[in-house]
Amino acid sequence: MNARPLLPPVIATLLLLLAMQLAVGAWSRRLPYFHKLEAIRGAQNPNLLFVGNSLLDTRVDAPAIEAASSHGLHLVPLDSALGATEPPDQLLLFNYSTQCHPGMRMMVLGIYDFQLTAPNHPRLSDLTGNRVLAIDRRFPVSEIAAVYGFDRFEQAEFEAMRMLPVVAYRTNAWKYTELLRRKMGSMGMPVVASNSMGQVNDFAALEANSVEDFDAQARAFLANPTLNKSYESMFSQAQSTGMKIIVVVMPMSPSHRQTFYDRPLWSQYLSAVKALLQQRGIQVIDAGNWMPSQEDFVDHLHMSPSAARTFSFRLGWQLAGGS
Amino acid sequence: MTLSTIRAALEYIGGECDVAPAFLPGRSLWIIRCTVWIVAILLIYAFSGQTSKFIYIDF
Repeated sequence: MNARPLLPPVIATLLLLLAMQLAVGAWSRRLPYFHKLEAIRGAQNPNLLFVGNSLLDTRVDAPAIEAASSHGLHLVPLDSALGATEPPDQLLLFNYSTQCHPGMRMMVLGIYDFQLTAPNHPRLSDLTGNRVLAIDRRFPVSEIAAVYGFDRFEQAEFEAMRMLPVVAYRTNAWKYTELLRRKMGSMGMPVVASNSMGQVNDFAALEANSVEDFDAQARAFLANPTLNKSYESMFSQAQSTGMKIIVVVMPMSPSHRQTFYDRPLWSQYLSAVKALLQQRGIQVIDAGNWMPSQEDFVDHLHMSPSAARTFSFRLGWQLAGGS
Repeated sequence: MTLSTIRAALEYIGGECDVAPAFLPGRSLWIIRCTVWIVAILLIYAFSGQTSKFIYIDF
């Protein structure tokens, strides 16, 4: 075998890696989390902040809320909710929203099941998909470490990820593999129902595995009634700036309500949560049964656009002082 | 282009043989080799670890 010079390929490799870094960095500006941060930054004089996950993301109908609130306190909503996020990510979005718009007077947190009281288990490897928003340089490392509870080693690893977009954003490319896999898997097969977020049946995985599991989560809270730490922090910050806080139990599909919310333990859990929040001066609106039909939902959990409009109007009416 | 020329090109790029097929440009061939390997490494790295079941695809 002939010896070949090593230096040119090494230089070319480094140049290609650099080009890839720049390309991935530019590509990250097209990701949903980046658009969400830009939407928050560019909002015009909002006074009502929505916080949550995909149950609220793109399901806050601003014109409906503004129209519904025209009789009382005029509300200008800002939807900071982002799909597939956990409470620590939502705390980051809350922080960013309140920094950009210090005049916010009210916040609405949309929850379902045990979202409000389940503990956090943050790991660096979980910052994938929309959760990669923590990588954005708008958030200081000290804030990330506090929100996610990272130790020094994880902080160092996080900073390395931030310096290397190829590493940080690699999981966002998995989406394209998944789409290809689904496309190939569907060849010659019956059509599978899907919506803008994914396959309808997959969202059943976001519900409890069984009613026994659901009851066990309710019992765990009743034995030790504490709120999620990220939400505790969010509520403290909101109240320190004079914001009114409303927790909304989001509308659920009839099948979800029949399976889980009709259980006695859910009533006990919700009563205990309401008592805990009312001690802190936080209002609770139970909108779980606002949407009576399965047609109002695009999967097991998420409202259809028309249902979201109805929900927004009704919520806006209540928030503005309607009965 | 025949199957044998494709095979010869792949063998050369992969380091199996030292003689480049006639249709490959001689002087800038190392750039092609480099590109192939860096793309392969990046693709393997990008998709390694994808073990979790996807629910959302809008990220």
